[in-house]
Amino acid sequence: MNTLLIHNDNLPQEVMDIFGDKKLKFDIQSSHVIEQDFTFDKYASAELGNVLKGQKFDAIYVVINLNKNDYLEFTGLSIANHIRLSHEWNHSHTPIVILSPYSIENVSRIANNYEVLYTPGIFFESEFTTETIEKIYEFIKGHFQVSNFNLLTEDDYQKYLKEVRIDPPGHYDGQHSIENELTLYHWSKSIGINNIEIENEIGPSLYFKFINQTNPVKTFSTQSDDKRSREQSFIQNLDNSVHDNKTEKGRILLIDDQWQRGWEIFYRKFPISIELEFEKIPIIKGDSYKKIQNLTEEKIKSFKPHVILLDLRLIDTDFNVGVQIQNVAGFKLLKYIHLHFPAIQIIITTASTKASTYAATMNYAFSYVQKTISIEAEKIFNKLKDDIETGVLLSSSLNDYFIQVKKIENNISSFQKETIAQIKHNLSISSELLLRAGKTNKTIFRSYSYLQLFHVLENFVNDPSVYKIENQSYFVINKNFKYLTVSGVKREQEEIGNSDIQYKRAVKPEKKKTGSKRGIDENFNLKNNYHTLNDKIIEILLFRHGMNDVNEKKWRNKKWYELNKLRNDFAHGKLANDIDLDSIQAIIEMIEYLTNENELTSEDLTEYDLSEKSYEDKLTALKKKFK
Amino acid sequence: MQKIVLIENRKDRLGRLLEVHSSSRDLKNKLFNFKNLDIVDRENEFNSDDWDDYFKKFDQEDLIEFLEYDILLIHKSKISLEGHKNLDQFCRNNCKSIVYFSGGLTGITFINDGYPCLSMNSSIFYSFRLINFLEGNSKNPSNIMEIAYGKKWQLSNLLKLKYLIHQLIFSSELNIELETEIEDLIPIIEDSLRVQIPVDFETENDRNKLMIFLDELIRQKMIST
Repeated sequence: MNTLLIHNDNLPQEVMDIFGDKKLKFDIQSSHVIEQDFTFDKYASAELGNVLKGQKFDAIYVVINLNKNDYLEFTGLSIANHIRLSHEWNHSHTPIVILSPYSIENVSRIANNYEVLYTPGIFFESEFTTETIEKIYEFIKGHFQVSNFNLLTEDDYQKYLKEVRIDPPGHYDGQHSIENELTLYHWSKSIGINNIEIENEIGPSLYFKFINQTNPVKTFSTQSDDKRSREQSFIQNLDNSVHDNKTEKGRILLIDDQWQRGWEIFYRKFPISIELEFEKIPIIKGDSYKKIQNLTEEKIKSFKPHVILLDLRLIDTDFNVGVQIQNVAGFKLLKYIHLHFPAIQIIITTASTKASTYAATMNYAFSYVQKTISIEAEKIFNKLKDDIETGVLLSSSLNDYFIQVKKIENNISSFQKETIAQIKHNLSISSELLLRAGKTNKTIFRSYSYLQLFHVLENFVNDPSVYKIENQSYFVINKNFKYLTVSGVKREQEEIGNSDIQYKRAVKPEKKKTGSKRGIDENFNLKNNYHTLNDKIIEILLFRHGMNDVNEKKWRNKKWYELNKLRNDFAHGKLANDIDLDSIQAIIEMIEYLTNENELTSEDLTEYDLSEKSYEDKLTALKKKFK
Repeated sequence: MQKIVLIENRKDRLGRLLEVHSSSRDLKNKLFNFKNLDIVDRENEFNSDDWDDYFKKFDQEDLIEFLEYDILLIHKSKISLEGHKNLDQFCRNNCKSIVYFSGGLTGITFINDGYPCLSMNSSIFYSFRLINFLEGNSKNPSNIMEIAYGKKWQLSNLLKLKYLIHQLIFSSELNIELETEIEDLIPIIEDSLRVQIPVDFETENDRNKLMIFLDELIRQKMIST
């Protein structure tokens, strides 16, 4: 008989003898099959490889129990799967006979990996006699084309792959989740990197072999035309400031406890169309969250990354069973970076498949890339590539915006508590909307973000240290100066179409209302007693900042009049396109200017306001005017 | 809950257990926090001389400190012949269970000669089954066989018996080793399952009866576990 017997000296001697020297003994003592460190798989692969490679057996007989200390293991079934899944041994299509004293029904009920018993080319025999062994061999020879090396047809083999179930072994060796390792191996191989370390470590595992058969590695091809055109349109949608930054290299920071394992090499070699600089946080086993946060903060300050690739599980306790996402180091770090460095676009890279993890992280992250081999690598790569490139562009374009936000938050510290809270709240909404515009590529969010900044202006003018309304009198405040800019008196005679109060204003509008200077407007039209934000801002610019004309200052080459008109046009549906990033940048810079104490004038402008002046005051003012 | 003491002078093996079986990374905390488990020299302060001194207590029959424990887990190699005799007597007199482990031991043996005594190779002892056993034991008393065979140790023994008898039936030659193994296993199964196994191989009818009996026991045990 040209057959191999796999045993542990646990068959009647006469049965053993008919196999001659074509026998392989598995002397298994401990319960390594059910361990998760692949000890058994490594041992089995080495032994089987030695015996099967270069041979051409017609059939392989395997005793179902090879571990004499654990009869629940059914090691023979694992051996059968190893043979089926290891093409390099040239016996993946060879008929296998399982020798078992138990009925197939009982084995099916007890064994975890019983499915192999019901696949083509597997025979199950309970009689341990030479006659039976020989009879089965004759049957196999008669029914399979022994002359042909591939004894099972390809259809049969596909049926086997469909029927059999090989579960992942969970987390082996602590942090190295098998899914993570497999993904790293597959992804690396897809772009031409052979991760020998992983291959040696998990290569002999049944799960690895199974995945390689059911989900073979495909080489990553370049992106589709459709994808390329989408990227082009995204770039065109961004404003000039982005184009200015196009020559800058994208800076990517990797935060992954498995960086040494191959993720760093993978990301460094990951094909991308923009030039990248790449750094990592050198996390080592046993690091605390605090240490990682400190390292991250230092690195962000020195390296100034545009995009951070962040794994969620970074420290030992993240791997505890039942750990809540809020307590996972990567999640805490995500919130920390988002809060302190909002311009950085964070891409979550994780093996987690939990919807709750996705939902929780996407409140703060730019994107979420799942480390998995269950989705075609090419699809994920295209997304990752797109996310990195978009993230870099977005980050470099938003950086100036967030610098202004930080400055404003510092500027407003002397405002009353309520104002501070409102401004911060509206700034954060505006920021989120802006980030969302980048994430979703929906420009409407940019317009919403712009509108939100006008709420910030409303909050600002409502602070009593900036503007005050007392009865029918409106005051601009500049530290110790309180300028009466609008005052109302009861009309002596009622006029049709006008309110019963006649207003006077210390601002003279220019024709076409596109500019304003200090002066007296004796018949100021304050519609329905409502003093608009635009009017208050004009008074603030003239009296708090001492401008002679509100048009003398521009932000990003845009006057206040234009910025306000843009807001009104959008609000009234008159705009054909959404508001561009440059206008958002202009308005945020203007808010920074308005809230900045250093920009306030120290000049006394009382002479220009509407307050009652003494004779001396009037004389001084006249002298000054004609000087 | 039964109180357990672990006496292991080779801390590298304990470390390996923690390293390999770290499907949950809090394993070390877990192991060190089992209320039912005391680990001698948990802080790892003993040197080899300290251990030599420690193991002398077995020779000197100075075993009072073990009275508070129900189960003793001991590295066998460090205990002298005299120490073994003393421990044997101590366990018999005080109804203690003992588990010996050592790199030099082959397979698993279980004897209940006045007290349950389980011996096994260290590689079998240091497995996640030990952790499961300690975890289970911290709630309800568990059988020490679980350390070797897991929670389904009774089913495992039944499958083993069926296998061995099957092998014996189909063997035309005498196999003393096999027969001894069967003879040792039967009382353990009978004791744990409270059954009488009809061991008779004379006629084919007897053999069939025995196999049907064992299949039925396996079936029942499968359902109950």
